[in-house]
Amino acid sequence: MGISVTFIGGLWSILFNADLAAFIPHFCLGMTIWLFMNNAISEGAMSFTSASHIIRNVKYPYSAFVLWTLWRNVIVFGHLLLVYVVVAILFPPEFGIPMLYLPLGIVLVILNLSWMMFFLSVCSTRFRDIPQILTNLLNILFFLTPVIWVKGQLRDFGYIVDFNPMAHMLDAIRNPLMGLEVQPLTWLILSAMALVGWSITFLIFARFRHRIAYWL
Amino acid sequence: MATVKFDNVDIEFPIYDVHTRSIRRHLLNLRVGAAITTDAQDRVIVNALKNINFTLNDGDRVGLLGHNGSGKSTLLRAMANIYEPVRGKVKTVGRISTMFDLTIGMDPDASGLENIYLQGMIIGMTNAQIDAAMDDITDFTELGNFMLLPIRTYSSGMLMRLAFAIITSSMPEILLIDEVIGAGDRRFFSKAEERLKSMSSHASIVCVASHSERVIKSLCNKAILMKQGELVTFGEVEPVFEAYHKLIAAEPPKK
Repeated sequence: MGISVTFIGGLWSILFNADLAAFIPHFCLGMTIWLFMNNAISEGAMSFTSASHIIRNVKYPYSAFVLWTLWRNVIVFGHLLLVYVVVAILFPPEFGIPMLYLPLGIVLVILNLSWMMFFLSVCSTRFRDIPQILTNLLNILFFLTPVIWVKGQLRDFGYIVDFNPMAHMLDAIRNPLMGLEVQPLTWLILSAMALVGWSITFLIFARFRHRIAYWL
Repeated sequence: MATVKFDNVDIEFPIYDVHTRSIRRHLLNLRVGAAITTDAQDRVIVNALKNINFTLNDGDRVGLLGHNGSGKSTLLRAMANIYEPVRGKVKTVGRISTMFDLTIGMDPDASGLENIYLQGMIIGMTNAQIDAAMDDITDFTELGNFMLLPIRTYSSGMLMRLAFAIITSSMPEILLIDEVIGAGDRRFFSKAEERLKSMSSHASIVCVASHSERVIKSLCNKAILMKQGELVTFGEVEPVFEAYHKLIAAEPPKK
C-alpha cells in the first residue's frame, strides 16, 4: 500500500501536473477508503455463501456472518490507514474544525456499507452470478469516483460525482482526515441512503430469510 | 423442560441449476418473453419430508433409522430449525446443540485446545463457560498431549471425541447428532452412553441418526424409522428395528 501510493502517486502527479503536496494525501486516502469499501461490499456479498458450512449445520443469526465480514474489513482498514499517518507527517493536513466530523463520516459510511453487504448477501445466495457482476460494477465505479483524480478536473461534468454514492462515502471520511469541509449534500445523501437502504434490506430479509438455508 | 413437536411437516428442496441461479438469465427472460421463462419456472423439487408428525419429551433418546436419502439428516436439520418447513409447524422448546459436522467453526491449523474455544463460541458458550468446562472436555477426549497439536493431525475418531466432548459440555437441552458418531470405538461408546444418560437425567432430548444398530441400541431408548421422507414407525427401539429389518428384507435384491 505504501509502495503503491509512492509510485502511483508520484507518476500521477507527473502525468496530470498536479501538486504533490495536495495530490498524495488525496490519493493515499482515496485508495485506502476505496479498498475498504470495495472489499467490504464484494466480500460482504459472499457472507452467506462462504459461511454455508456453518449455516447448514448450526442455527446461528444471519447478521453475524455479515458482521464478521464487516469487522474484518474495518480492522484491515485501520491498518492501511497507518500509511496515511506517514503521508500526513510528510504533507501535513490543515488541522481544524472539519476534522471533528470524522466520527460522523465513519459511522454513516459503515451504516451504508452494512446494509449493502446484508442486502447483497441475501441476493447473491439466490443468484450466484451477482458477485461477478458486482466486481465489474465496482471496477467501473472506481473510475467514476475521485480516487485517482480530483473533482475539479471534471470541469463542467462535476455532477458525475454528485450522483455517485461511492464518491459521497469517500468524501465523508477523506475530507475530515484532510482537514477539508464536507458538503452538506453528502451528509444528506448518506443519511437518506442509510434510511432507505436499511428499510429495503429489512423487508427483503424478513421476506426471504427462511429460504436462505435452502438456497445454499 | 424440553420438547420437540412436529405438526404435519413438509420440507421441499428446490433444485437450482446453473440457469436458475443466474440473475442475468432472469433479467434476459423478461425481455425475450414467455417461451424461455417456462424453462426458469420449471424447477425440480425434492420432497425431503412428507407429512411428519411426532412429539418428543424430556428424557427421550431417539435413534433415527432409514436408508440413505430417507430423510434422516433433513429431519435433524428441521428439528434444529435450520430448514423451516414449507408446510406444517416445528415447535421446539429448549436450547439446541447440533453435531452434524465435526469441524464446524474449527480451524484445522489450530490446536485442539484453541479449537475448543472456537467451537465453543459457535455453539453459543461464553469464554467463562468454556474455561469452566475445559477440564471436563480434555478428560473426556483422553487426547492428552494431542490437545496441543493442530487438529489436522487428528483421526476422525479423535475429532469426533473432541467435538462430542465440547457439544455435550455445553449442556444443551436438545442434542441432535448425525451419522458422524459412527467413528467412535467401543471404549468411546461406553463413555458416550454414560454421558448422554446423565444428560437426559436432567431433562433433555437426544436424537441420533445412524446406520449402526450397535450405536442406536447402546445410546437410545426410542427409535424412528424413516422411508423416502415419510415416518414409518416411532416407538421402542426393538419393535422399530424389527420393522427396519422387515423393510430391508421386503426389498427386491439387487441384480
